[in-house]
Amino acid sequence: MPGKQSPQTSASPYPDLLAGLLSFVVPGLGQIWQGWRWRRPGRLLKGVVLLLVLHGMFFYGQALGEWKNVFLPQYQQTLDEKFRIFNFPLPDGLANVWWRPAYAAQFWMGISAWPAVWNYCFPESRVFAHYQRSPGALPGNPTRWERDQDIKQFHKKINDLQLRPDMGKYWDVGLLYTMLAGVLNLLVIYEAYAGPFDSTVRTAPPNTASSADNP
Amino acid sequence: MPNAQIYWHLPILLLLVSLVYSAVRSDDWRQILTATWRWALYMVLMFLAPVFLILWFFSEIAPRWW
Repeated sequence: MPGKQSPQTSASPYPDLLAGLLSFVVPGLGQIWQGWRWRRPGRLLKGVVLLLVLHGMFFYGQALGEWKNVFLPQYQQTLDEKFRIFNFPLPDGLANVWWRPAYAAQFWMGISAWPAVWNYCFPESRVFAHYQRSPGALPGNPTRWERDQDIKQFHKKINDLQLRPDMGKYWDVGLLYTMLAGVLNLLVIYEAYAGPFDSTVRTAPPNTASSADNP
Repeated sequence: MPNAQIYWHLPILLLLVSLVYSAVRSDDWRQILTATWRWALYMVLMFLAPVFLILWFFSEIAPRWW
């Protein structure tokens, strides 16, 4: 009965900020780290499974979209004036996420989705060539027209891709996989930080509870 | 039905989402696997089946009435 037990005892190893950060960077890594540190093979295996499942979903989704469905565009930089919500001008980064909300979900997939941010910020030194390239982000000081042309060219490519007979709805399915992987990793990050959501299993196992500094 | 094979992704997605959701609730693998099947079944019966029935009703049954 959860109500009759204290959700966290003095032996509880949570919250664990480092594990949360590790799972944020690489999904499942926080659980793997905890499993290894606390000698809990079940937790270590859980981390490995989460790592494989989430990366599998993310990369399979990208493959379905022919590696063109994860990107953060520079749309706002082509506009005459900043996009406004409730008359509040949004900064470039926020406005571009507003225009490409899928990336707000994909971002949480960690380092696998962050080349898009790198390519958005540093177009002169792109990582992995055209992988997650940012449409509109050009090296040097591009004019608004040049950015606009680059975005149009990119969208023509992905429109042609979506209209291809063998693509069909796979574009949408691929996007769904990548977004779901990112959103599910939010649960994984929080689980690494705060422990399993079932409060009765958040305590450390008996073999680690005896040591005050472990974890 | 064109593109019907995309629906094979549905049970895979259901199971994967259920697995991750169950995995964040417990560390015990028996509980995780049991909860995975239970959540997948729950989502099929409580969400997908009603949606399917509603869509099927409006596409197959309702047109015969008007």
